[in-house]
Amino acid sequence: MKKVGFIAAAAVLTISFASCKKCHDCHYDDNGTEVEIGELCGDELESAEANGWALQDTVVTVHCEEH
Amino acid sequence: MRLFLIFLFVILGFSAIGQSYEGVVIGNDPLKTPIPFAKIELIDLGKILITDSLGRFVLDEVSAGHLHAHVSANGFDEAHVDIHLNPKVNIEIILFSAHHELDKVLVSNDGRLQRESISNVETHSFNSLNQIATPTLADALENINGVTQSSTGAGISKPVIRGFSGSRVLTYVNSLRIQNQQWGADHGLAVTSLGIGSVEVIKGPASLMYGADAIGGVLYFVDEAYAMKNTFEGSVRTSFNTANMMTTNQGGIKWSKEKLKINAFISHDNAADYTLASGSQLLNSRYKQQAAKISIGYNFKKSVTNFRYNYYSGRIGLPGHTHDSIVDLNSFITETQNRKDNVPAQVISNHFFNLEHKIFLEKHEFLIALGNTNNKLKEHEEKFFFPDININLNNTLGHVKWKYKLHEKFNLTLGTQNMLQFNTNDPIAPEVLVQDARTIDIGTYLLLDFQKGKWRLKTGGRFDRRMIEVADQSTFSFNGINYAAGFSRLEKNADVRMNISSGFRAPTSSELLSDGVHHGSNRYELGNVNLTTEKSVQIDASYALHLSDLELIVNPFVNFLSDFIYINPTDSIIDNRQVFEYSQIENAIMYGSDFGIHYHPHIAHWLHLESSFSTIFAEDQNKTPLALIPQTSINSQIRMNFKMKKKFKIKNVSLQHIYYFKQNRITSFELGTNAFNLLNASLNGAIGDQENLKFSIGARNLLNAEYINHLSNLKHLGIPDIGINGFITIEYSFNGKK
Repeated sequence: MKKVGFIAAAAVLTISFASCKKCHDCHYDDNGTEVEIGELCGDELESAEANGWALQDTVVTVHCEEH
Repeated sequence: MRLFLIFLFVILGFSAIGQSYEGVVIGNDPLKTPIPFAKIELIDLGKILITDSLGRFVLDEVSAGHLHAHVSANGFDEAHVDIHLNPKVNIEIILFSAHHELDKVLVSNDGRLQRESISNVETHSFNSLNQIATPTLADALENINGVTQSSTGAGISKPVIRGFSGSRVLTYVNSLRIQNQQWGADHGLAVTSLGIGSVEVIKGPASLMYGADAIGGVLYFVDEAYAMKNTFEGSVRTSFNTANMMTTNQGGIKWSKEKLKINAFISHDNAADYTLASGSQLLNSRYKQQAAKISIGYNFKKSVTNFRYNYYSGRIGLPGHTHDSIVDLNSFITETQNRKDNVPAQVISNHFFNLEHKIFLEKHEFLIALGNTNNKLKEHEEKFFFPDININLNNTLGHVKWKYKLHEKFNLTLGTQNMLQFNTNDPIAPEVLVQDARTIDIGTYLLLDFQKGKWRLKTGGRFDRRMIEVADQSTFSFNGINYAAGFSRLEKNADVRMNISSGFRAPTSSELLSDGVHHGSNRYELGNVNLTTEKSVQIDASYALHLSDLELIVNPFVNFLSDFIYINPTDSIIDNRQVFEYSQIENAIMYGSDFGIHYHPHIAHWLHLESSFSTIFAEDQNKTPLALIPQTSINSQIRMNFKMKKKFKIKNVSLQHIYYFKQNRITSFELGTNAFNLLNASLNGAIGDQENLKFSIGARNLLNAEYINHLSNLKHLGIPDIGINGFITIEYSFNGKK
């Protein structure tokens, strides 16, 4: 019974602390209109937040929070 | 070096001598019947003893002197006793039959702090506060009369003691003072319920024992006791809350040898956005947090050492954020419940270290406590990878206390508490709310305690100095002199207590130096370098009646405040946010009372009826109400205890009703709050002869009431609190001997 307890605890904790790659749907504002960029993940998301999102001749600020 | 060697020699010397003492635990009946298997917890030593079948026990390798013990046994009232260890006299502990088995909820004359403080102290085991399971520690503390909470969604909550919170309430975990930028209304309690055995609450100023900032009260959390010697215990616990689909998983293990004791705990909570009474979810009210703690204790013959480490990390969503040009409740809610990381959010990590050494001699008692706390707070407004605020608060603390028994009736306590604090901003964070600063606190206190017959008198004084050095070379210094005096008379069926105590609080660096956007509260905060120390003097009285089936308590108080610091909205706008500036009120007064009643009829020993009432009024010298004063409330509970002998047992069923009165005594920049009712219910049970498997099912806000607590930080946005919340908890525990 003790073993079962330990195994159950280990399983619960392993699942609880498991992590995964973070992805978010992002957009930028164009004169009050939200323009969807799509899902950005990991380094791409970090780069877009740090440097902005490059359009043809300009760089815009991206927003990736959930609305 | 020489001093250190002398110190080491003295400690080791103390460790070399010890004696054995025999004792017995008996009932209060004429035959003095021995009580078998009574549990004796020696609080100062961190030891637990169990009496044998004849009520006897032996206390090994302890030096002569005084010890405080918590004694409990089935069918008897719990007792807190001071044991005088004398080799010539056997120890005799008398327990009174529990005709009524009343909880300690209404009894405010016990607890470890109570012995040292002349302020109003209440001690509660965490289990007694959690009869109806609560999702957070602050929710559990709300069951203490006079304690409420301010909250930002479900993930951020902080206790409010008699209308005070934030920097005015000190938090201790064991002997370690915790700091976590607590001045911010959106910076929650830095402690989870993991491994917490009990909580002691001081209502009102307590600067005498705890120093600067203890102007509103003290929360003192005490870890769970170690396992009995040569045994181990363990448990795993999982729970689920329906309103925010929150899972909580905890595990703990306790292991004790003859002298070495170890406790270790770990937990993980994960909550999605919470469901409102309407059925929609509050966007970004999600949170997740991890905590771990380890305690290592070692008993010498005349001293005991404890090392403790607590870790916490959390990502807490900040609801109430929108880009909508026209803002209403729909701007903040969603129909899709989510738990994915989002922004705005707080990302917090805490590391708390604490090393304490207690030495017990016949007439002397020493405490040396050293600690370090590190709180890292990041506030992300719109970016996941780049926090707008990234601030680190590091505290190093030292406390030395000497207690001396001057005479059979007199005790003297002399102590010094010191703190060195560094507030450091990450230079690449785009915003700085509070400048880099170094704070030094130095405090010295003296306490005298006199006891004769049923009377007990205490008095003392303290001097404190706080120095703040800011990165821009400006410096601030504040001094405080505080006192406290009080008496109590403990009769068999009644207690009377009265005390007067003062407190002071030097302005925090945030109140002096803030100059930036505070995303958690969505405003621009401006400090005020002209602030002076805020002072308080409280007169507190209590009368408690203890009959065999009825307990009553009334506890009125009045608190005179001067130079009260508050944050005041201005007409200015900076960075599209309203500017709030710190200011001071010359004089203010807070007064109110707590009442409690607990009835346990003889004709129905399985039934407990409890009710408590708490009310506070606060106004300045112009009779203008102070902001954010809790609603008056009545908290009533019916509990039915069952003694089943089957393998599947229902232990108790509880029904709780809380009525919050309307709050219309408000400032010009506050909104009033309507009255509301909350109904909570639970069923607690166990499975197995040893009750190794325990379960609890129930619901909070059973009527699915739509309400907004007056102290909710989302009230101005019209965002209601959590709707009906069903819960289930399962805990498996095991133990054994080595």
